[in-house]
Amino acid sequence: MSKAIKNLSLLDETGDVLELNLGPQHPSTHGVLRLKLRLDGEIVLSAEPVIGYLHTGIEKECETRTYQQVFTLVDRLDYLSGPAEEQAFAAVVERLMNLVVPERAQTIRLILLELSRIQSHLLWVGTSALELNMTSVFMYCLTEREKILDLFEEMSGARMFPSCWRIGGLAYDLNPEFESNTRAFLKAFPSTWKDLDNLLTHNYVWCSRLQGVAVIDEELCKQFACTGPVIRAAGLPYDIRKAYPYLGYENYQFDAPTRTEGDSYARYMVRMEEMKQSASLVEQGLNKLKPGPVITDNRKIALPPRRELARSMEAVIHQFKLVSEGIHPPAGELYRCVESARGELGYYLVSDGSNRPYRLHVRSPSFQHVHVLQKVLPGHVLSDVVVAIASVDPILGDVDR
Amino acid sequence: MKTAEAVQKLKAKLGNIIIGEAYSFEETTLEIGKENLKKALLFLKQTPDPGYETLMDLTGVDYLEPIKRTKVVYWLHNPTNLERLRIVAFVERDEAMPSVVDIWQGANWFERELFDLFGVRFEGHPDLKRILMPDDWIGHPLRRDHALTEEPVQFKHGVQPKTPSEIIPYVESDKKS
Repeated sequence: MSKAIKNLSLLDETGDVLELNLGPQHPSTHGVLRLKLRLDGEIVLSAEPVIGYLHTGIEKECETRTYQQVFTLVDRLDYLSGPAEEQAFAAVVERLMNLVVPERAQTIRLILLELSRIQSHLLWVGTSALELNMTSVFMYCLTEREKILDLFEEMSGARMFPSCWRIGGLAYDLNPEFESNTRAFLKAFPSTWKDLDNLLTHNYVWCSRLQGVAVIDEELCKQFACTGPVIRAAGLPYDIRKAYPYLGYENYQFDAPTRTEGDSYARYMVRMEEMKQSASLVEQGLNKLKPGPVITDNRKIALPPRRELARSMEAVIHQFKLVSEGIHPPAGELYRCVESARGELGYYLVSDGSNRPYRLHVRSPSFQHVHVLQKVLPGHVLSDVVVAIASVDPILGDVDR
Repeated sequence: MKTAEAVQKLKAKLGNIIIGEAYSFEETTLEIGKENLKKALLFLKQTPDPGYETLMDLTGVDYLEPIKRTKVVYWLHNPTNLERLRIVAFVERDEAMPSVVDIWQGANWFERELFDLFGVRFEGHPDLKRILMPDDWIGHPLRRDHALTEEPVQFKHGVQPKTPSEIIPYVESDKKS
C-alpha cells in the first residue's frame, strides 16, 4: 500500500504550482544530485533528477591509459565499493585474456568485496537514519564501518580503496594479522547488527517514515533495469552472485534475501539481511583461505617479484615492457558484471589488441536507480522525497561517471 | 528458451534482417540494420517465451575507420532464464536512430547519454538533451576524434613536460603489423 497520491491531474489544475530546486548542494541528496520539483502545497507533482555535477569523464580517460592504470581510475567511480569496480574490470580483462586467477587471490578478493559491501551498507543505514534525525544510529554505524576501513588500511595502506587488484591476481598478500583482526571484527559485528536492528526495525518513527514510500514494483524494475537491493525488495531474487557466479561464489552458502513490498522499508530490510549474509561469506572465505601465490606467474601479464630483478635479465626485460607499455589483450568485446553494494555493475570492454582499451563502458546501477525516481516521486509529500532518494542508495560518482 | 532458439525464431519471423552474427566469450551478438532495429527489439521483448524484458544497458562505440560512425549496443536481459543477447546497429554521423523509449521507459536516460557523449540523435525521444555534460558544451566527448585535453604541469626554466597520456605510448597490436 503506497503512500503516494494517485490522481495528480486534479491538483495540477487547481493549486498554485511551486517550482522547487532541491540540491545539488544539499546534505540529503547523497552527493550532488539535483531535483527539479513541482509542488502543489506539500505534494510533489513531478520530479526531474538533474545529474552530471560529478561527471569526471573517466570512460574517456580510460581510453588513453594502459590496462593497469585503469584500476586507479575506476576505483573512484563508486567510491563506496571500490573493490567491486576493480573486480568488474579485472574480470572483464581476465576473461578476454583467458587468465586463471590463483585460488588464494580469488578468496582474498571475495573477502574484500564482502567487507566493502558491509561497510557500504553500514554507511547507508547511518546516513539514512541521520536524515530522519536519528543521530545515534549514524554514530553506531560509522564506528563499525571504521573497523572495516582499518582492516583495509592495515592491508593496503589505503582506507577507502584497497587498490590491490592487478590483472591476474592481487598486488600483495594479506598482512599476517588480517585474519585474526577480521575474525575479531566478525565476532563483534552481530552485536552491533542487533543494536541497529533494535534501534530501527520496529522503531515507530522509522517504520512510519519508510513504509509505503517510493514503491518500485517488479514491472518498474524490469522497465528501468533496476537491480540489486531494489529488485530484491520487489520480490525478484536476482543477484549476480547467484545468476552469473564469479570468484567461485557458487561454492559458498548464502541467500539472496528478498521482500515483496518494494518500498523503502523493504529495501532497508534487504540491506540489513545482506550485511548478515556478507559477514557469513567473509567467515567462509577465511576458512577457505589456503597458502599459495596471489598472482599469476605469467610474466607477460604480472610484474616479476622484486627479488628476481637483481639476478635475471629476463625479469628486467619483462618489468621494463610491462611498466613502459603494459599488457596487450587480444582484440574482442565482452561484458562482465559483478554484484556491487548497489546492484549490477557491468563493464563493457572493446579491445583492438593494443595496450589500451578501445572503449570501456561502465553500466552503473545507480544511474538507473536515480532515473526511476522521476517515476516514483510524484504523489509523495516533500519530506518523503528525502527518504526516497536515500532508499535507492545512489552514489553520484557512479551515476555521473 | 535459450538465446540460440530465440535467434532462430527471430530469423523465422522477420526474415533476412540479421546482417551479422557472432558468438564470443559466451555472448551472442547480432548486427541489425537500424531501419529494422525497432521491429527486432519489440519482437525479442514480446514474442519468445520468456521474452527479453529488460534493457540492461545501452551504450555506443565510436569508429573512425572505414567511415566515421557509431556502433549502438543494446544489451538485452531475460529476467526469467537469465539469458542475455547483444544487438548492435551502426549509425553514421548525420543519421538518426529510432528511439526505443516506447518499448522500455528506462531507455530514456541511456539515449540521452548516448546523444550527449556520442552525438547520436534518437528520433521519437521525448526530451533529447544533454545529461552529463554542461548544457553549453560543444562537441561530443566520447567520439574518437574528440581530443582529450590535459592541462600541462607548469615547470620552471622553460621545461616542456609531456602530458600524462604521452608518457606511455600507444602500442598497436602485434598481429596487425
